[in-house]
Amino acid sequence: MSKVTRIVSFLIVLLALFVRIYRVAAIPPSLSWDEVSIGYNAYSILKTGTDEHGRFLPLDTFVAYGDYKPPLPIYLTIPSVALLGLSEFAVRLPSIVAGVVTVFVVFLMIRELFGFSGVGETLGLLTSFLLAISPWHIQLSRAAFEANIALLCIVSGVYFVLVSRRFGRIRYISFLPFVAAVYTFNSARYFAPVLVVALLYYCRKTLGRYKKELFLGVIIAVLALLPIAGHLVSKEARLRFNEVNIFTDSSIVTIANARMAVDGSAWWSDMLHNRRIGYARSYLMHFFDNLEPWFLFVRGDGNPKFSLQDVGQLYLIEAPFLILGILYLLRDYRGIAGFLLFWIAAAIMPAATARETPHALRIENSIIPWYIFISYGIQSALRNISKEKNRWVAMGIGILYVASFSYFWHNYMQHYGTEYSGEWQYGYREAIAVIQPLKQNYSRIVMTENIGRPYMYVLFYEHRDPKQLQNQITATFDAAGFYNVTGLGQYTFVKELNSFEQNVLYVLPPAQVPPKARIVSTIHLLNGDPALVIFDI
Amino acid sequence: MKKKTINWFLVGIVCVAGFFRLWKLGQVPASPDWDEVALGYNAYSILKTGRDEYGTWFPLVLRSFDDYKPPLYAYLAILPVAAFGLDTWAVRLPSAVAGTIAVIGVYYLTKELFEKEDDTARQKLPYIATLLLALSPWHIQFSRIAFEANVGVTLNIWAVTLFLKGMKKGKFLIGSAFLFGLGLYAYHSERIFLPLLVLILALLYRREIWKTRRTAILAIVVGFITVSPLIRVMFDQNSLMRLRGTSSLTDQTGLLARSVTKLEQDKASGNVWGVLFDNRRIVWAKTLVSGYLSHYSLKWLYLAGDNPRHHAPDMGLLYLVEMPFFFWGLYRMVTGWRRSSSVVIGWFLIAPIAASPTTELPHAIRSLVFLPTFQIITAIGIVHFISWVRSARKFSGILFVTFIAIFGFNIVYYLHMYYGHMDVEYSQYWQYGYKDAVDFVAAHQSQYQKVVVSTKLEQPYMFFLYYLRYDPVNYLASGGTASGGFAEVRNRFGIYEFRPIDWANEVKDKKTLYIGLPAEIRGTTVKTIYNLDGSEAMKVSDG
Repeated sequence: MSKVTRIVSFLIVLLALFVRIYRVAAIPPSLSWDEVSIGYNAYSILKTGTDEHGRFLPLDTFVAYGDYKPPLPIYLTIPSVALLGLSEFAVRLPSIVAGVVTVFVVFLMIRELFGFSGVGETLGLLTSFLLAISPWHIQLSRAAFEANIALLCIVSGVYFVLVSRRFGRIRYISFLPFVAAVYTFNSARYFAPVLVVALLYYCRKTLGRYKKELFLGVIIAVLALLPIAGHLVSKEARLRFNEVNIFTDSSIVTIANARMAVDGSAWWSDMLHNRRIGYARSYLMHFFDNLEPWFLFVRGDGNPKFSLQDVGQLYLIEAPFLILGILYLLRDYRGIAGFLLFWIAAAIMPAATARETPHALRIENSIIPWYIFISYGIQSALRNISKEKNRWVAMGIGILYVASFSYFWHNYMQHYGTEYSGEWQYGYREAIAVIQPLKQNYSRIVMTENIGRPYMYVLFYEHRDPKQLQNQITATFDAAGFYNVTGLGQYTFVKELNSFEQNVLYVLPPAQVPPKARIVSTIHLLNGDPALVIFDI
Repeated sequence: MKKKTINWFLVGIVCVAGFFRLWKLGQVPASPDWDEVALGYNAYSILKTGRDEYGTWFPLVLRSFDDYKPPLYAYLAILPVAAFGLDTWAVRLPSAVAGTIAVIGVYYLTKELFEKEDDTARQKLPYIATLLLALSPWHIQFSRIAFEANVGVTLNIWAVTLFLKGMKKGKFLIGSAFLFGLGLYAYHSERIFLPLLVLILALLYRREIWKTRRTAILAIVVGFITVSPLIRVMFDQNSLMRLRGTSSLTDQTGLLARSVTKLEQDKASGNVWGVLFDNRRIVWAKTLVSGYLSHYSLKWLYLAGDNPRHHAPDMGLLYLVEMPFFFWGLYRMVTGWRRSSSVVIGWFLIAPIAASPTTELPHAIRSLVFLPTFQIITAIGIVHFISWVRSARKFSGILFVTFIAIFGFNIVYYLHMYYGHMDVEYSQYWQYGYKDAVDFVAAHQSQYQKVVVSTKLEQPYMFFLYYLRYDPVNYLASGGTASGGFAEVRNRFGIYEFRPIDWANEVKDKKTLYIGLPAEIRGTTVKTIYNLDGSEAMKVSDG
């Protein structure tokens, strides 16, 4: 690494760190229910060695709300919670660190992929820089999203396998980052093994000589997967998948049958109007949802948790470079381009089985190849222009990037939190803060479940001792496997309420407040809409 | 000798194109929609009286439903309507013929365009591109209905072909200029698209044009003369109204709501950057770019399509199997850049510009000028695929059979969905039911003094004029159309009255017949009209 490269890459990492950590406790404006759950379960493990349900050091899965969270992100949160306590910053720190490290590992990975000559080095730096200022990656690095940690695992895995072409000993452990990805994020469970196969195929010439070491590496990886294997094939793991997947949509069968009836059930009609064709078409529609121009370049994911709604997952100006990059990379490095295109497709494939597409979080693993193509597009655009004009065009592209990033940054820092605090379960933290001094005056506190999972916010913000938890909590698992908490010590959690008693403090949404209520305080969302009213009778 | 046999290929392809454009022309799609009947009846009216439904003498713009349609199609429909009467297939005939002529045009266009690129594989290219357009779901869809846009595509193809021929023999330039000018009479999108296309061609071929500058000047003059009657119309306030009506920038409050809130926040917190970033001009620019980019949605193009009137059930605008070949072709064109790449890819990139400031995007008609670039690029991909298959000797047989089988299946699937299922599944989108309604009324006319038709049925007066073949002379004598879209409640002719039905306050004297949506008619039903899928389309009642 030359001195310049070293300095530039260091600056990029510094930039990446700054845009991921600056005011991260305040924007996004509140911890989401998944974030508090990850934080408190880490706290619980730290204090007692068991999760919130009393399971000792779960290695396969955390039951949590009945959504069966992957274990690794929770374990990674333990050190920061141990150091910084239960706070927004502590819960988000692992994702931030993963994001920053990813920015650097991408540089290393691209150098391995393209070689240490000029192309690899500049392409690596450029991609690393684009990732550092990527709206997609910043957004997902600034909250405790498991997917963001999984991305680091995947990139490191690719890097390790590529490095293992040169360094022998690393071959034994080069698959372990992929194993870590399986422990980190649901979508990665399908994606990681598929990518490994593609990667080995890509490296078949260089790695073909080391069959013995690779075989041992696979054995080690399989051993490392043993603790979670039971969960992967379990009923619980399939439960959530069945709820959201497109293959349970019966209307496709109905349409197919109606069409066969129109054809008079001729022998060939069964072939044309086969339900498998209907499902294949539906799957492709969901797949290509993730390639919609409005999603990639204009508005981004429709869920404000994953996108500002002001910029796309990628910047608009990147659209032409993406196309150029794909075409030119196919010409100049066909093997690499093929591998990267497969990477994108494989990252989208598991997400396309779900009903809600496009989905920026579930396809986050595709982010690296997108940016490699874009960087290559920028590079080849500049290479095709004469040297005198080159500098001006480069400057123009630079200005466009500064403008795009500033637009994103302004909207993120100035408006995002205010506009979408409701999407981040804003309100419980504020209500719990108001309640604290009043608690001893009431026999019970009744809190709405409308915003979602209030018991976890109480546990988190009251720093409840995990040891006492099992005696205080009243909860059941419902038919769909979800964990419903109806009481926690003094607290009762309700969906709706018809009768009100004295000596009880209520925390309910504005629409459910009775006329005779004595209002103690009203919690407003950051855009001014009332979210919760605290009152008694 | 050789040349003659090759031409039989072309004749074969054109026959295929003609067959799929003419077969069952009057029955598929199930019913003419409002624009088709309007163009048909206006052609009929001009034929009989020289005036359109408003009484304008030889109009250069058809006011119609206050959407100010470009006039060319109505004039083209006069001949078939004169020859075969006011029949749906006759009204659609100009489009079907234009579609077939477009297919022929693509052969000569690709031949001219790639002539100098002496790749042996290129000899197949014109045939493949022509065949792809002949079978294109997008092109067949709009070649079988009386919409203005399809004639525009034909004119584009021939205008460019003649332009390319004109680069060798000057006199073709004059014909080209005439067709470019005529294109502006064909469809709204063309008025933005064609000037851009001419600009691109002029820049790319500036050396050749300079060589034949005397003919070129003559061509420009011809072009101007062709366009000159239209200039007044194009800048007319009423025509511009149509633009405003379909523009995505018209709804300012909805569009700017978020940026206004943000600006207020910026002011409250003293953030000076807000003036720059939460500016409404940025919102406008983003809306336009977003509209433009929406036409490069693979889902829209290859799988879903937009409005059900714009595609067959289960189909996009292109064959799904074409997608890999399109990208292969694009790759070939971009990495081996030549002047032909500039023409085709330039055309490809300006095609959605005219549609981008409008609503309901992406829009298959407003961006119909894309054709035939998709087919040409895909054909290049297929040509390279074929030569690649040949080089893979061991497997070439299997590969080729697989290729034909998959393509064949996709084509059969489309044709089956189009001719076999589209009518049943989509008849309601084609405003099905008027023919039955008018037939019923005509049979029972003597029993009633008045027929009231609900305007909720969307422009019913035109459907009645059309299916009754109501004499334009009488219609114009009674005042013609009072107004199109907005004030349509005043429309009436003969015993027919077109207005909203308010069931509680209607006279219901058994002398008045009411026709409306099933939900509007609450009295005894004398006739229910069904869509082809069995759902109720309209109800007829006499109180």
